Amino acid sequence: MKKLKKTCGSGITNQVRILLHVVFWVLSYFILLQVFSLGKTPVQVDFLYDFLFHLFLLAAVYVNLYVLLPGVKRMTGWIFYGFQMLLLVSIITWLNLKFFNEWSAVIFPDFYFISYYSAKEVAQTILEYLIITTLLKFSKSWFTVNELQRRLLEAEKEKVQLELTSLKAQVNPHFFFNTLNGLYAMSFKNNPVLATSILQLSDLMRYFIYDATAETVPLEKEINMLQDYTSLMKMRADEGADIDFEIKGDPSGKHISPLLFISFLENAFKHGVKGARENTFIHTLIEIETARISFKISNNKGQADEPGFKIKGGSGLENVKRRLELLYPLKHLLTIKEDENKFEVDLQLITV
Amino acid sequence: MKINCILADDEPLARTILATYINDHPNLELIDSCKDAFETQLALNEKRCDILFLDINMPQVSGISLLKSLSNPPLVIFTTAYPEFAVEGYELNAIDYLLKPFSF
Repeated sequence: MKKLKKTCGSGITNQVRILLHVVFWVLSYFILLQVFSLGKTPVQVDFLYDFLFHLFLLAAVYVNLYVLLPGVKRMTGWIFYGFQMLLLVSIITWLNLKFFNEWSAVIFPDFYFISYYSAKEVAQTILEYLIITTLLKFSKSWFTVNELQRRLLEAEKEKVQLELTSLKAQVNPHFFFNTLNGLYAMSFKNNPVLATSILQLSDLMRYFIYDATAETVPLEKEINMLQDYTSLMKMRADEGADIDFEIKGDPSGKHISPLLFISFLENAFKHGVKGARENTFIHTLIEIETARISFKISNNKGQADEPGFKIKGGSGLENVKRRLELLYPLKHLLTIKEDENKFEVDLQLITV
Repeated sequence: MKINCILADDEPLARTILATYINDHPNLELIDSCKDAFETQLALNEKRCDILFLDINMPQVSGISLLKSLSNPPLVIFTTAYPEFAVEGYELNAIDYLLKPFSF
């Protein structure tokens, strides 16, 4: 944030700004000197006339840059600005002519200025200066705005990245301890499922710790993880619970952002299996088509009694919605349906 | 005289562990094994129970809600994977709070 603020100013420091202004006016002085001396070698009076003429230009230019321009806040302000500009040019022109024709004789009695230029020509010169400096100012603003925009985009991207990483870390830690407890129980009785379950848990952990940190993962791996999770939950659940997992289509060769579906599965177990004492069910169906992946899950609608305060990861559904918006903008369709005894989620992802 | 125990846990595997431990202990008698809060409440009404081993995260009614609803609760030992409810558990006068998985 600090970095951003620093360049918000204009991209250049004050010293550089002053130097640029000085260079501009020195150049302007020598160019106008050539004009005023009419191509001949300039004499003393030309130097003085040029200098005095520049005082009027300076006044006009800086009033414009620091008073009139900053006053324009809205598009309609430009009309008012136009009048102000005309008024400024008229006043300075009038002062200029008045000065050289009348007052200069009093202030500089040693010099005799012939009014080289008509009011129209003086006004034109002043107007040209105003236009040039205004355009210079705009071009500088343009670079500043560009730089600012670039920084903003970068900051936004960083923010999104950070958000995505934190949104991902959401599988409930209790799952691991409860699963380990199940494995522990099985180890007492030499249960044949034990070996398989240990492998499933280790695959699951490897997926969460290593694979899921990537931006995208092979769809096959994501599905394996969901299956492992389901079988481990099934191993722990009551025998009466009707839990199944079906895949239609071929997942090989497809990629997907990791951990988009797991929250729905977690929720299904939380509200389904933990939500009722009997007739619990969780049906998961993944359908893979050429350009589309659909994830459907339905569970019995129960009343889970979440003890005490909110369990970490309870906002899983909100996290997924946010991630879908970031990762699949306008390429996903999430439908959640519920009636008296059923809760259904249908998530469609367009993968092209 | 043996100490009468009831255990309450919705997960069959978790019940087998506790049942094994209780049966292994000469002074403990497992009089009932329940899979939810309702069964537990019925068991408590019917039988004289000294110690209740109580899981927290159970279907529909959590162990904590169950304990709060009992007018004359037995001694309660919570068994759970959630360390964050320990304080609340002890506030309900639980005598112990076991974090799964636990050993004998």
